[in-house]
Amino acid sequence: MVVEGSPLFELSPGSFTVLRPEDFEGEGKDLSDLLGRVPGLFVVRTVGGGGYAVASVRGSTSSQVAVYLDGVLVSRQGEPAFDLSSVSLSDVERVEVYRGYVPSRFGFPGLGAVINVVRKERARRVLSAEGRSFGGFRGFGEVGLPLGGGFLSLFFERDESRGDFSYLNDNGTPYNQDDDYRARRRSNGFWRDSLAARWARGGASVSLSAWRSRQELPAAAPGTDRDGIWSGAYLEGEGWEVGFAVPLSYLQVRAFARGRERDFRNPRDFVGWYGQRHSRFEDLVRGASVGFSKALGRLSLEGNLGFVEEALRVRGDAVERLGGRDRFDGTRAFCSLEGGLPLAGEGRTFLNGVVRYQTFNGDGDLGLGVLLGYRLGEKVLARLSWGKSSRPPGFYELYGDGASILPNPSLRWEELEEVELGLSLQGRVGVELSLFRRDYDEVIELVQANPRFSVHQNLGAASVEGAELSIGFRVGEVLVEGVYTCMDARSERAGASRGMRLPNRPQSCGSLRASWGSGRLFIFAEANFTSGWFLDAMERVPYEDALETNVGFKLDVGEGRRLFLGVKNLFDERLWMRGDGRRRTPWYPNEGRVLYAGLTVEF
Amino acid sequence: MKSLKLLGLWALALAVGLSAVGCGGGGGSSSLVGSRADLVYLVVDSSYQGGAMGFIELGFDEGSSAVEPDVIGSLGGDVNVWTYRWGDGPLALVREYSRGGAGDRVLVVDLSGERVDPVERRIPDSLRNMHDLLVVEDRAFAAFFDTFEVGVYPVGEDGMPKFDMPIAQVNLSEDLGLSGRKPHPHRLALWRGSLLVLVQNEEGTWNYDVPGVLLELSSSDLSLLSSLDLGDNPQDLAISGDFAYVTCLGGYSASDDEIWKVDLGRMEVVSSADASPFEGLDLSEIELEARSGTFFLVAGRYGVGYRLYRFGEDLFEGASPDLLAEYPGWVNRIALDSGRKLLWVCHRGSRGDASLDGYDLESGRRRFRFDEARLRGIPYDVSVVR
Repeated sequence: MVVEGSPLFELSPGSFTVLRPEDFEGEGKDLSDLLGRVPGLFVVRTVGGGGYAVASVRGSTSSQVAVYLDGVLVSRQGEPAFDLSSVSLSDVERVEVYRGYVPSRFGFPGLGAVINVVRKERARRVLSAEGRSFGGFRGFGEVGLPLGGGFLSLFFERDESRGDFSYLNDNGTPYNQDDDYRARRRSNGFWRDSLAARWARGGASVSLSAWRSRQELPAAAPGTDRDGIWSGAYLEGEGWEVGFAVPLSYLQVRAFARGRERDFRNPRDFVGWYGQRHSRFEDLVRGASVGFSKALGRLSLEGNLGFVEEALRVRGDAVERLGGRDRFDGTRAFCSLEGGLPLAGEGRTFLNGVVRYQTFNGDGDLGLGVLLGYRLGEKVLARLSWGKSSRPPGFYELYGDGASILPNPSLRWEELEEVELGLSLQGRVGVELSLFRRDYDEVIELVQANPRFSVHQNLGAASVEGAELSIGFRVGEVLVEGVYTCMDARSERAGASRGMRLPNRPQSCGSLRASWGSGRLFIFAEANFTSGWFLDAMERVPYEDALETNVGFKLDVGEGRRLFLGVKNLFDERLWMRGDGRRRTPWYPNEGRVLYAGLTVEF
Repeated sequence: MKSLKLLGLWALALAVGLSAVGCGGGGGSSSLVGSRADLVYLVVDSSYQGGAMGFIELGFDEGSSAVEPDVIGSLGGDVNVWTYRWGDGPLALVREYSRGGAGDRVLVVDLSGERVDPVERRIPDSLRNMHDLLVVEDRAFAAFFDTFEVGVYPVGEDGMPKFDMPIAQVNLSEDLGLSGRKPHPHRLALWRGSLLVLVQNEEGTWNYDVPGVLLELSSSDLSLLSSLDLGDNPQDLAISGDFAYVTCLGGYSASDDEIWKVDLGRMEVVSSADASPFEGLDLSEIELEARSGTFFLVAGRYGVGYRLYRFGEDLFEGASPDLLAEYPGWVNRIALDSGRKLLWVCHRGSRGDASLDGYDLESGRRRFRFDEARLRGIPYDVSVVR
């Protein structure tokens, strides 16, 4: 079936989408590209392909989206907005996105928004290499073998790019066309290496992984990317992770530890001019959880209990020159219980509910979710859900950084109340439609307290009304899939921005894809569009409507070898901002047309 | 439950097509008020991603005043504005800070309304973060905070100072021997043919809790005539006759806040007052209405709020100031309009309560309040059209 996210599926009775990277292998896509195919989710990128990117779900901020790896929370208190580019896809089995009603196994549900990246338990025997425009290269391999009654899988990946695409730079002076110039993006490259080993048997698994990466930090484009102006700043890091999962009767026990060291280097004091040329961030996250699933008569129950400890150490100029805070510690814990109960009509009507309690450093909050479902036959399901969730402040929000951000110990948790009406149709045409309304409150914003310091305050409030549509069907041999989201996301914050559209929440966006596969050849074409997207909170800085068209093919050439070739952004559509009715170069332009080609070999 | 009711309304909205529509745009550049502008103000939005410039034509009160927001709507989040007369009409110069090394963006807007589009340039990055500008006849005096430069520039026919063709320019660190610390020129004033430069010194990184300097430079070639060490972290400068009054913030504790009175003829401190009459708050902006000898001063601190005081010369003999107003959020700018007998206060607010307020100089009462909704943003800077 094409369309997922239906309560007919096992993962959740609520709205969710599952994407499998293997289905898109050889299409030059990273995690951000995949998530662009999820209704209700919008990816904000600040640099080109492979660079820093964060997700917004149903009008949320990126900090309000909880990101999990194999069911373990990886969005940190020290960095609540998770960088999607830090996940390599080579060992990923599937990506799940939950919106609205979040199942109890995700103890920290964000604000009704969870991305769960589930990694493979069983590797294929594959090697792949891909070259692409602007110095791009991606190579990965996976291999596995039976071991100890289970299966040992090994994965590696290298991804890199110079990111030096060309574009028209208006010099940041939209009233003055005489000083426009053609530029090539500078300081925009990255590389990332990752290595993972995983052993699994039944529901038990042990995993080890390590990575290192370097991400250059380009300057805002207008007026830069020319001689004499070169950022030279970058973020370099390495990390490791170890995880265990053990089934014990009807219990599932997990434990993990994750360490990361990152160096921010800014040799020319280019970022902020604060004299912060080098700072080092070391964090260690540890956690464990236990979950059970049990049927008690007609009632099915699932419960979870867990904690995450996080320690962040900061060294270098941020501490020594700017007087920054050098350590942050936090413990988050949760317990959750979810029940499902068939009601009338031989289970045609059913009720699900989840209650969860979260704590962070002694503060706690209760979250609730209720879903009423009604099945009409085998293929149609309607559901109505309501939920309330909250997010604790992050380290920097609560404690400040000592250098430029003041602490605010009275900061409250961000809150969300949501109601959703959904309809799923499974048949020759698969349709998933959701209408939702969200009310955000106590949203944390950074405000200037005086010339020296900023401070986080609970200022924001917003209402978001929207619709998500996923549809899939076949026309002969051609598979057509589409996702569409329209949203009216408006600020309810007191003051001038009340009633204005929220920044970085497009009014509509979507994707339409047609693919055809027969025997050795697979061809696809897709169009992604975005409309009604403002960068600022006063509707002064809109992006122009954007349409990106991608095409490509994959060809089996025998003996397990598959060639692939494609073009992203075929028509070289560039992103433009507008201001005073004039077209403007955006702070972070998109890279335009990208050619890629490669070979995958199964052995 | 409001959610359910609104969901129904939403579904109806969907049926009539809530889907993709074209984007709105920033404001145009034609002007409603234009030549009648009494004030030019700048706002930023709450995300600090965008800013705008607007005009106000004053009436008797705010209700009878005309506000035209978004005359220029394409500004960034860190901007300042100065107004001056050029030719037959007033101009406004807006400076947008560039952290990317591209050089500050400068726009000159013709307030007479004769020229629709602003003149727009980027100035060399060696002249970064202009903190003050004075335009007198065909000369512009400018202070560039980040790069320690002070310069005199000719003003072009379009009213734009020619920052790349200085008549004279000095680097306070390299040319004037103030290199022991980072000497940031912050405020300028002209006094008896000399250019006074209030300098904030920075020691190490981001530490301004060191004595500042008041420089007297020749206004023709910027040669150093005299200098005076001040208190820590000087914030603002007001001139009356042969005296200068300087607020010094000290550290971000209030222990060493002071107002210094300087005899410019002898270039020496003749008196000072600490922050105790101002409830120990941090002293920042000061304005002096020279004819009446009345001072207006902003003191405050995050968490306590900001207060507007009025006082006279007798403060230095121990008299108490009058408290005119209290604000919950940061007041980052005040501007004196001696001609209209008003003092303007930019209150950046704390919870959507930002405003631009006008106080009657004589009564000390607030006469105008333009809230952030009417200004379409949080007021960031204001300049009086004279």
